[in-house]
Amino acid sequence: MVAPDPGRAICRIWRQGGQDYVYDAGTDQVASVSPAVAVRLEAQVSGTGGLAGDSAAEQELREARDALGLFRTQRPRLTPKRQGRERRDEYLDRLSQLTLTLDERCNLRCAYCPHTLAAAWTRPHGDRQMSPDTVRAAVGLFLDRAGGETPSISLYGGEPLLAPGLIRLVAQMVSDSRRPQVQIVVDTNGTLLDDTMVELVAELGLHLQVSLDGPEAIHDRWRPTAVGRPTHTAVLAGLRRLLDRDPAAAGRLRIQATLAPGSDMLEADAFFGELGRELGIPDLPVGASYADLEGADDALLPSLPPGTPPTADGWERARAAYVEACAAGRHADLGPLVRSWFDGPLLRFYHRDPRPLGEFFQPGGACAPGLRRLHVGSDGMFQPCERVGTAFGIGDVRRGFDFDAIDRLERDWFDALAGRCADCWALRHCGLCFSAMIDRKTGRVGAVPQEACNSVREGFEEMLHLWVDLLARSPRALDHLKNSSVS
Amino acid sequence: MIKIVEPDHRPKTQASITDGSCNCNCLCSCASVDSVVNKPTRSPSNDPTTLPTILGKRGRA
Repeated sequence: MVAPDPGRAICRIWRQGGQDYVYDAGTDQVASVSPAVAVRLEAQVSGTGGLAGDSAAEQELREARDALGLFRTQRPRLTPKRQGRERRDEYLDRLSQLTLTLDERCNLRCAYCPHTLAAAWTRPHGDRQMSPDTVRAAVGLFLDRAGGETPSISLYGGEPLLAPGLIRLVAQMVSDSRRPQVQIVVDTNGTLLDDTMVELVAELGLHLQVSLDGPEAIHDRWRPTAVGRPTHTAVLAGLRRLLDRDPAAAGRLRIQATLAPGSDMLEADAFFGELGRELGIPDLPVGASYADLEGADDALLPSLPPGTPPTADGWERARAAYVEACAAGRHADLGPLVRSWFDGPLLRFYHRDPRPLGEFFQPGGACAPGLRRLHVGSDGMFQPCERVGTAFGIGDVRRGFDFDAIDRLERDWFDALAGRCADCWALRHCGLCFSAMIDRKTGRVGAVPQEACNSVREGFEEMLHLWVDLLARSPRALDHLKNSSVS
Repeated sequence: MIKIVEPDHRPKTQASITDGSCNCNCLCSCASVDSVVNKPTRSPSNDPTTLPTILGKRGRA
């Protein structure tokens, strides 16, 4: 069976810094091209035929096809992912991260939190706590079979420090299992790190991921308590208390910052650089995510001070600082937030699969529900991750994995994409989550909105532009990736 | 002239986009543990007690 060939390459053409570039999905390569070739390719991709008779451009394209394998016109055949039932043996053996929603309660009401009304389509804040029996069943299942080099159990909420007894139960089970490589990571808002909690963290050797969004003004705008009080001071006091009691906790601590509208990335980056120095952790790990609140009810979001520059301005300044530092060989001088933010997409592309696009392709992002990561809700229900709430149940602690449910989810996802991926130039780097097929108002499963695909393409294109910017500035601008690795 | 835009050093490993590194645009700030480790920017290298690197999610600022 021959793959379809509509006679045009799967590529993206753009002009940047006075030079034409093309990203070719067939080879997963970026190339600089002459204006004539760019015009010819653009016409081909858009289906308008192009400038007939431009023999020089045609010749260049032919040579690129022959010598570099670029601009192939065949499309892959889209195939669904392997059925969960067929992969039964892989489940559990490949599971390396178990996330438990220990306690749905939270003492904070962060404006961008998926569990508040701003995005209550997932799961609203509740008041349920996981039962000890459910903890035992979930952790027991994980400890029996978990694989990977660093299997981890993430304790999530709500606020997991509201359930110290359950944390102790998890730690006891891990200790009894004699699997010291299993890490226990507590996702906490960091506001409850009093002497008792610090003792718990130190005694059990817990890893902490603390949510902190940057300087006081930024953090407190988005992360108030349930009664509207600021939390920044309490988080910093808790971190200092922890490190005073247990200096080794420095190696088990990381920060997760959420950039929300009005948050300035460079300002937050400078804050985290200074915080790392103050805490004696010069390489304080800081992860970052962006709260895209488009479509959220403005009435539920905090108002920004007058004169706050658009978020895009801050992002552009941070990007410029990143490019400047990398081009000058000063990547290490950048702060932890900016490094984390811009390194991530570049790293993935740097380590991309060198093989050309094959005859078959499984579209729809990378998630294989429950295969590598598994979330267990407070009621014991299995879900692919903590982000999808109760929308996708794939089993529970009593019955184990529901392979029929996994297969249904995969089928719905494949159908929802409606075959559009074969023509998409970003198909090899699509990270679209299957939650994109849920109508957030009705909770029903349907087609994937075009905006979701557009968003993926925009994100990937941003990375391509950064890639080109960096290498145009200096052939050594990506040298900081040289010793990076993936596992 | 068509010229590939690539650094002169090719990585020895290849990344697979897997669950948790899906770079999704969800709202949550929770753990998104990833398998990609950028050794030069992390410390201490090869320290098994260091938390797994968590990549920043790409968002449109």
